[in-house]
Amino acid sequence: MPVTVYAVFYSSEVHDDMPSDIDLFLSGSEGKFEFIYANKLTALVSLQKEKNPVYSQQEVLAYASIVEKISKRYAILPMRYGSVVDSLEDVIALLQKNSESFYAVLDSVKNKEEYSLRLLFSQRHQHDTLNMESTEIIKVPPAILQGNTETKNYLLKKYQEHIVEENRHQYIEKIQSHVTQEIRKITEIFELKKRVTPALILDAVLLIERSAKDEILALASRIQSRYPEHNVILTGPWPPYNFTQIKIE
Amino acid sequence: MQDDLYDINKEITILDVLDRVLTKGVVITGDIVISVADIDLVYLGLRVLLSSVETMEKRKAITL
Amino acid sequence: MEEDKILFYGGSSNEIIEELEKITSGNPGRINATPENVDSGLAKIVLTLIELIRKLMEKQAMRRIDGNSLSEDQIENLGETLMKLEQKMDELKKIFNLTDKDLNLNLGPLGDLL
Repeated sequence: MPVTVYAVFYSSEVHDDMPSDIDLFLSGSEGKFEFIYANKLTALVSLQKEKNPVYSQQEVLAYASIVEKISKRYAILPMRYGSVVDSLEDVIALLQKNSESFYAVLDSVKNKEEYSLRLLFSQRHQHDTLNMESTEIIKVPPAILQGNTETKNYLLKKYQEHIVEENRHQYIEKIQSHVTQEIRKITEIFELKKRVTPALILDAVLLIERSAKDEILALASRIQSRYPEHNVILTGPWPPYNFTQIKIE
Repeated sequence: MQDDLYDINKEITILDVLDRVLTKGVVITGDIVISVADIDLVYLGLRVLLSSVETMEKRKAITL
Repeated sequence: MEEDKILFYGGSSNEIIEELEKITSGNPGRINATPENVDSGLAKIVLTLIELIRKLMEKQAMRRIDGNSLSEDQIENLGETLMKLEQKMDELKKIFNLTDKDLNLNLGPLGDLL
């Protein structure tokens, strides 16, 4: 019977309370849940009727909400949606084979929670300021592009776009390095994600002590007041989804 | 107004949740299967090894 | 989610949602080619690569202009070539019914190609 795995954590945490209340604290969630033990580890799993997970938003959110509930209780490693193995024996084998790597990662996220800190261009600012600054700079185009021919005008247009982009780049890098410095004051465990949209100035995930929630809140509002023209968004606390790099064998 | 705010917060939260649970977290099963006409052909493995689904099935059979 | 995860946000929430949708839409799953879409599927991959190379060339050309190391003749040639390349690209996009947005492969953990 296929088994969905939600999270892995130290068994010692479970022993402190009664595992029998598993259905109680996951109440409202559909499915038959079980704790699977192997070495010092426990996995929260549920039995599935079918192997292929259904990719509906509802299913995914239900999965995430179970991971969330368990993470409130224990220090866990969250699994990605679609973590389905063939049998309960496979879960045990998985835990046994990879126990050392699981220990290492679990230790690194102990008592810590994940937060997302993002800084976005406000659309208004994006169009006005940067473009204007750039036009100032290219009022005098490079000598080689002067002369009113079709090709030169084309190149000049491209060149202007290039300058706008370069300026934008520098502008973003400056903010990024400043915010990075600020983040370092709170934690050394963070990651800047690759910018995937033009409006994204910074997309960071941080891992901080559970007790340091106030510090991250203060950081967000500090950054917002430093860059009032942009939008700061802080979300969390999350299970350590972004800090679970582990090689499964 | 309160309701609007609630909805917006919920939407942002859902987006963030989906991003995490679909692309982050510990991976124990295959990442990407490229299929042609609903027949799985290319499997993009955990360590970004490109192998055919057939080889994967065979390998699986051996390890089990 | 029964819990509110937004701890702080400044600015317009609609803008924020719009952007977050873009950020989080890169969800690796199945790339499915069927008899109906195989033409545009292949064209998409090929054109994406051509577009990547074209943009790289354009970028390099701008750096050469910045470096002021090009002669009058070179500039003329360069401009004409880049212009024609872009026109050709636009024609190809039209033929295969592809937009700029289509010509951007999501490389999973590596982010977007372009």
